[in-house]
Amino acid sequence: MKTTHLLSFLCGALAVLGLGMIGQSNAQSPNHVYELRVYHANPGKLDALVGRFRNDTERIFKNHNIHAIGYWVPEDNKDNLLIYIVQHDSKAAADKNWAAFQADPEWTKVRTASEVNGALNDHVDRTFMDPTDFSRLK
Amino acid sequence: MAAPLPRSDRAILHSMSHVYELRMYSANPGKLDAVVARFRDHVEGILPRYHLKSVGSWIPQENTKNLFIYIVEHESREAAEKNWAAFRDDAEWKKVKAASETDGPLIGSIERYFMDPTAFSALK
Repeated sequence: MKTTHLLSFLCGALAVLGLGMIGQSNAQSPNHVYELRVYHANPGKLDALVGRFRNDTERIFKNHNIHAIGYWVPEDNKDNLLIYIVQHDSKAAADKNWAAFQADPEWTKVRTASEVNGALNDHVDRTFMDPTDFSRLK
Repeated sequence: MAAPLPRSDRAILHSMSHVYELRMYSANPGKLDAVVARFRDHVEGILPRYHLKSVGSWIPQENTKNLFIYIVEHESREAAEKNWAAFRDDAEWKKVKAASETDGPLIGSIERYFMDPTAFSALK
């Protein structure tokens, strides 16, 4: 009888501990929302576009909690692309941070100065994405 | 004679050599869940055998094209081609692929970009 009680106590304790650990691991790694952005640079403007990100845009992003995890240029780049991925806390945070960035006077100034000879890029393809449950980036 | 590079600079030079591959799979109608499950249950386990490092995988929130997107990190473009060839030749992969496609292929089309990180990219 005593052994049975002890066993059921231990099982219960383990179950609680197990559930607690699951809860804890979820709490420690909340999923982010990722945004894949593909910029189609205008002809002859890719270097200027990349230069604007390197010298200015990336710094201004940081002032608005826009966290870019990587920037890339395709090796076979017939479409003149710049590709980057931004990690957001949520879709709502993304919208808020982009709005603040767009309204930033420093960005407006940088953008205007960089486009005296015309816009550096044409359209931007944006894809908001959720990480899979097995994704290394969460 | 030039002084040896500090450790951090050497690490940067070494890591600059990575090539990233963005892969976008357009799943056939009704097959997206099967694509994701095959990746979770099998492909993620097979990729490391061939030095194919999966950096992240995602599903678009508004998924009109039925996409599954992931990024693989390679040592070089040559390594990528060699490692993908070895992956396609893997006995488990061949078995898993055949078993998962008894009712037809899961993927309609694949868009791939081999990409070089920019000098200011966090992922190098």
